[in-house]
Amino acid sequence: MRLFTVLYLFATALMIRAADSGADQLIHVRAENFLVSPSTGPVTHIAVRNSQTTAFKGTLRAQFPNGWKVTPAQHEFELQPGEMKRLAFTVESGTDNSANRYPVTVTVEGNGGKTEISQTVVCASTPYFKPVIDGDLADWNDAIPIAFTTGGRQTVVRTYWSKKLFCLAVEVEEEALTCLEAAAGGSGMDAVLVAVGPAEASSPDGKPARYEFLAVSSTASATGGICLMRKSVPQADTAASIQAENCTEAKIAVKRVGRITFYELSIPLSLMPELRPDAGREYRFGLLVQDADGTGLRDLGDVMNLWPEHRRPHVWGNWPQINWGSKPPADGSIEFGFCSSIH
Amino acid sequence: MQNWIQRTIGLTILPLALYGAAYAQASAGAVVMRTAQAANENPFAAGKTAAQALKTAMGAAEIKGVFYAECFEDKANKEAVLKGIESVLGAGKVAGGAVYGSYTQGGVLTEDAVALLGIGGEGVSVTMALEETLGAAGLTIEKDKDKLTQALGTAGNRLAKKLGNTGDASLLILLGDAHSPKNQLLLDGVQAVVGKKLPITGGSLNKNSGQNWLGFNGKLYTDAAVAMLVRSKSKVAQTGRKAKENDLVISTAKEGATEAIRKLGTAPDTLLAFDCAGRKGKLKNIADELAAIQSAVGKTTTLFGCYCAGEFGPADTGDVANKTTVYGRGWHVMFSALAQP
Repeated sequence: MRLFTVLYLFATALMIRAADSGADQLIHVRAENFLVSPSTGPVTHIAVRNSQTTAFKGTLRAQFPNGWKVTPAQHEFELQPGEMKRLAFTVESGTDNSANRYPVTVTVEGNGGKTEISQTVVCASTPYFKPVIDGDLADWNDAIPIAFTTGGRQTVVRTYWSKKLFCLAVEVEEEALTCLEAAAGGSGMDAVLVAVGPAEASSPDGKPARYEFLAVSSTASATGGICLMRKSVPQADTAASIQAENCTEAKIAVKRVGRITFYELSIPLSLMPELRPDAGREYRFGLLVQDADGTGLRDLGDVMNLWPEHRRPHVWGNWPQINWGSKPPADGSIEFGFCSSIH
Repeated sequence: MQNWIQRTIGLTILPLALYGAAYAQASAGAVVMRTAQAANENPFAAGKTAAQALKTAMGAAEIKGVFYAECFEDKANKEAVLKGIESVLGAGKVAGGAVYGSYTQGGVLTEDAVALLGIGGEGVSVTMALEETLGAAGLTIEKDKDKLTQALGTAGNRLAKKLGNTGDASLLILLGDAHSPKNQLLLDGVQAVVGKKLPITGGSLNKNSGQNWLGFNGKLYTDAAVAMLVRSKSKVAQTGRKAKENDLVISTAKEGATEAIRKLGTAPDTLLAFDCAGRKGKLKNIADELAAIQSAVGKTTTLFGCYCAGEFGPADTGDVANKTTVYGRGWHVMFSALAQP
């Protein structure tokens, strides 16, 4: 698998260089997720990186959705070879939309070139709420959904926090649900794999903590599912010796209605002591869905316009239940934010 | 960490209280404002401890009103902390509600904690009023702007009228279940009665689902607002500063506090800071903003701050011509510096 992933990264890099022309040959651009609702006037960032061997000097302008007021109008910036910067834009006046899809167009001019990049940005924010974990998602209307489509099948992700819990609901459109027992513990089962961690390091090694949870349907559970957990040790991230444990402290419910599988999960924050939810605080998140007999692995990172370096192989734990395929998934360190209630 | 904070607060309350008692005796006839705070997983104990510390800090000064800011989760705990406060101070003088954290000279507390601002002395009177129903619950600016404008304007109007004559007032503290940007609509209703010259500060309740409770006369209310009118001859100067990033949150806190003191023209006795929870969320180290404020005001002036879901005070935006007029905003820290008459 490692050989495949290295080849994939190499091929991706080649494709980017071949496709680029003008200024985008010099830099990569990514509008980051909004971390609180646009209507609350957040600061958002557009990341730029110079991936060539000479310095870049230019201007970046961003066009946000119609009717929004965002300052400044543009940034002038310089980047040394290999350098990355995050350019801040303040949403003075913005509006939320229920689809949680915000078109942003970024224009970069410099070094004699010009390019325009269109991206749909989401609000990746986790409101405060205490849902009942029963597989019924009726009390998730106050969450901010992120929907993405893989192979024609939709996945919808929602998150909540409260003083003691981090909660997650995932809707997976799939032909059939294969539970743990039916797959005999192998990679043929359907599952949701989540990575959660603080934005900043709190340990002496200078790397943020990272926790992974695997939610899977199980006939042995009265609520329809079980949850496994492992804490990643950053410097030994690839070690198979870091075993997952049955996370009995978590509550999980898995239900199947029509073509949709509903996963609902609450994880005690005491299991993730470095994660300190608070309105406005940033954290890191990633989510993969395994639709074993359908689309294969689905990746929340696919709707985040991530750069190739966010698709590092072996950052995720060595979960034997997951069929990783040849394309490395997003590394699960996508910027997310905690927020107060949306109303 | 929480235990360390609790121990630290416990140790700092005593000397502050002794200082307050001495000062109150020397200031008979004056306006006395003091603070106390406590953190405890038992909300009743936290409320009682803070109230006892405040009573000591106020010394001989008669307590005329107490504003409280608590950060416990769930209604039952919020009721308990209010009962704890009133078990010491009695009912009828205490108003306040849920916020995202608070700070005094004793430190910053963000969980299972309560902070109190006591107002007393012979040179002051306090009138408190409650508006039980704002009519804003479930409405959003995006979908219901006209309804909200009508409901909050009317509610603010009713609330202000309950305060009586405000001609001799020096400050109005307002706390409502109307977060930014709804807070401006509530303020519009209040200012339609009291005018735009009266200094107003305060904030919006914690808006986390199920947590938006304010307390008044021993009871909790949601979709409500409370006003605390301070009548005295105290000098008051206000500033507001907006920021959305760590470094700017810290620097604007110092700038705003410094500017409020400069505008006051004398050393303040009290500095109030109604601050935004969004600013708090951007702080890498939660204590940095308090340290910045202390670098401007020192560590002995009475300081009361709390993190809200919107703030009242002078807006710090380029498109606002008159920066001394009070607005309802978000992302601000709103300072009010007060000095004896």
